[in-house]
Amino acid sequence: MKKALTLTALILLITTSAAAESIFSLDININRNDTVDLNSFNITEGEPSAFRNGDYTIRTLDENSNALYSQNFSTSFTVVYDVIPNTSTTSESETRNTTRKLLRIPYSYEAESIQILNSGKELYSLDIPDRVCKNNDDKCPEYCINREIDSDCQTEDKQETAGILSWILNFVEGIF
Amino acid sequence: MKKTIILAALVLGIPLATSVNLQTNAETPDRVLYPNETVDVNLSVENLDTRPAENTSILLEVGEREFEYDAGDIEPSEEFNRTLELPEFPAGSYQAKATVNYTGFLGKRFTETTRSGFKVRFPDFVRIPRQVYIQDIKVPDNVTAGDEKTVNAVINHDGDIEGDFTAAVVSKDSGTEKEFELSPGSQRNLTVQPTFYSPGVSFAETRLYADVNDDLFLLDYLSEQVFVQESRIARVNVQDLASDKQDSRADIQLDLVNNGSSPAYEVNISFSSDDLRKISQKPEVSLLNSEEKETVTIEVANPSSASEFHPSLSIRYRDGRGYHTVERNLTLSLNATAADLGVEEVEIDKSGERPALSYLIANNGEERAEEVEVELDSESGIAAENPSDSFNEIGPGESENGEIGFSVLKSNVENLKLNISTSYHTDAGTEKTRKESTTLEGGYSEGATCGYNYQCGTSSNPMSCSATPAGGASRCCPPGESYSSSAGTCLDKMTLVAVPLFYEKEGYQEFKEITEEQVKFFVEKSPLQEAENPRSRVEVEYIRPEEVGNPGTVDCGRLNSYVQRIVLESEYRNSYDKIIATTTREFKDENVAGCSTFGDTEVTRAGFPKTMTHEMGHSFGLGHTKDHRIANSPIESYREPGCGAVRGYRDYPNDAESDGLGEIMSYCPGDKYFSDQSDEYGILKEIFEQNGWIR
Repeated sequence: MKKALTLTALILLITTSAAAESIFSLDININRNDTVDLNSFNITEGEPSAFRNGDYTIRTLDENSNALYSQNFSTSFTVVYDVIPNTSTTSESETRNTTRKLLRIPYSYEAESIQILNSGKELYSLDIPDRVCKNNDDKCPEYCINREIDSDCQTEDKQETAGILSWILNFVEGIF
Repeated sequence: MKKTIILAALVLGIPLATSVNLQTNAETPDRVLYPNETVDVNLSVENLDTRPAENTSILLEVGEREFEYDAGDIEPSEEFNRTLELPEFPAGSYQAKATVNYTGFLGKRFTETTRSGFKVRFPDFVRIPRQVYIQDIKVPDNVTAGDEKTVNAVINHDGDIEGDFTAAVVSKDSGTEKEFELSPGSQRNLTVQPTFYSPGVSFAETRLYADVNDDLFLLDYLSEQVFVQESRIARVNVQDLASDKQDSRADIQLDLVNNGSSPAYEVNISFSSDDLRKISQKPEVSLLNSEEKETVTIEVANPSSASEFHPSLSIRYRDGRGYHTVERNLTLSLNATAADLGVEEVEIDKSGERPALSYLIANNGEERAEEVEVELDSESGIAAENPSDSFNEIGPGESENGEIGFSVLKSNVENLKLNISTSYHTDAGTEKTRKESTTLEGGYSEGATCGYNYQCGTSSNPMSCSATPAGGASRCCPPGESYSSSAGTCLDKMTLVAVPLFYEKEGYQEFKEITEEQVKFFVEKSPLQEAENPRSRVEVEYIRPEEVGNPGTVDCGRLNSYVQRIVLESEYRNSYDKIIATTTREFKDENVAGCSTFGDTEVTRAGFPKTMTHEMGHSFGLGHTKDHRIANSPIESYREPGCGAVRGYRDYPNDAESDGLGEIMSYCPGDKYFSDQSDEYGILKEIFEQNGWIR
């Protein structure tokens, strides 16, 4: 019994280890009028989505706008209704104005932005440091380390300097 | 009588020159060889004595060939071992005679001989020309190193099998060959033009091979000695010698230059000093080309209380004339009293969950070092929670081990430089800083064994270091995939999240069974059937009925959106590939069995495995198989185009006619297959391969 338990534990451990990796997770609505609405974005642990080639592209760019990762994907606004086999009824379909997509792509520390394109035309662009680091949540995610945009990632010296500068600015403003 | 003489000699105090007790062995293959095989001979000389055998050389004689090896000094209890790969031998019986020549006690030379034998015969399975031999060869005079010279050979064919032959002339360091044909009863004068490189006594061995089925069988060989004159020599000098002193350490810089016309080989720089300790030498130089200059820095430290030193440098090298040595002496004054701290051993430990830099920091000075701080940094790309280590004090001659864990931020690390700074205070209160660096490797390719994610792939080809499910070393694989030992490549599992619609809590098991039946059908019909153990390529995660709630609709399209939302709010949000929902209730339109969005999600009524697989086909982009009419069908709709399916809402990638025999993407009766004719199967296979589910 003890052996069986140990084996199970090992298998679980291995499975977890194989699957756990950092990803960019982008939950969006793609509209038929070629606009994109963002539902949520985060850097998390998970697996990249299954993709099927199509007219749409998701890509990550570095600070010099070089593409780090690019993946084509398909999007459809159609729901097809299929009848029970061997009946005499024909199938139907419905066309919607929007479709929801969860796009999970590999994480890269060097990525600065994520773009969604349709047939090469940019529909949406997301600035990653703005989304991930520009907050005051007392957390310094790995992505924000060495990016000065996140005050939570600054060392004490830098925070102190920033504090002094802020005080001087306030003081000068006060004089004028 | 012998005993008496020895005794007398001892009494008289006259030492006798005696041999060393060596056990010599020349081991030849114990099977019969063919003339196209090289011959491995294992030479071993074991010193069983209490005295060394010095300047040992071994002469191996086999047939007409001689091979000589320098075994150096063999100390007591030491063994010299060497496996020699001799060239092919013609058919015949051979004796390998190894003669060991060495200097024994009191400088006298001794020899010892051992013998072993082997046989070479023609194989039975090929017809090889016999009685073809080299009658004579003529080698050139006046050979200078680097010259291409002509060797003449006369070949006779006294046998009766016509054939293709190859003549090769092999010298000490080069070989040239020529192919030719020779008929029985004829003679051929051949000229081959080898180049002789190594100066000194060389040889020109002419080898005659029969070329049978692209295999070369040695028929004969004949060797002549050639004397190769030296054309060029190397002249290595120390052009400049300087030292950069820092308290108790110094960097000795020497500019080596070769003013000769030949490269200097086997360059070896040795530093000797009674008191100074050599810390490092960079770079290691082994070859110095003609007119080339190299600056070598030797870092030394003063671990003693002395302050003036007279180290010497010896530079040894070889050219065509042999070995030469250049020597230089210098005088150094170094402080002796200061603490002298440096990081000496740096390793990246790859056994933990993340890399850790381990180091040894040693004080080579005469005083203690205080407030020691070791800090790890990099120009970019790493993050460490605690990037520094500190020690209150490290005494003279003492050392400490430390470790700093860190993460690598960049995905395309190739030769990322890590800097290790050490700062400390001496007794005199002086603050000192030293810097060392080491390098991290990255950019490993798919399937390579790895320790950390940063080592795998590049930014444009992201990969991670995944554990191998079957155990064994972790391997670099594309994101989400893991290494399959049986497939010999990285693979991913297709992850399906199954959602129960309108199931009671108690119906969970029934839902799982129905889903499993649907998945099994899908696996059997889809290209997953080509994988080894196909069902294992699909992982199904089940949502429990109580997590789903009441959708408030039975419209299949709305249910589709509902189950997508359920999964996006579940723990499987970041791991699913497809969402499959099964409902116990009829849809709003009672004739509908399922629906799909051509995206992530599909909904099917329980008990319709073909429909579930049909919807999966839609979710991978397949449309209905093109219109087709079945004449005289008893069911009216089958006489209609497409067996009842409607086209027109999208472009079909699977645009071919239905054969009316039950393709899964048609409405025709039967549930047999994804059609090849309309390329449904091929399209699915391409998508499955793209996502790593099959390879």
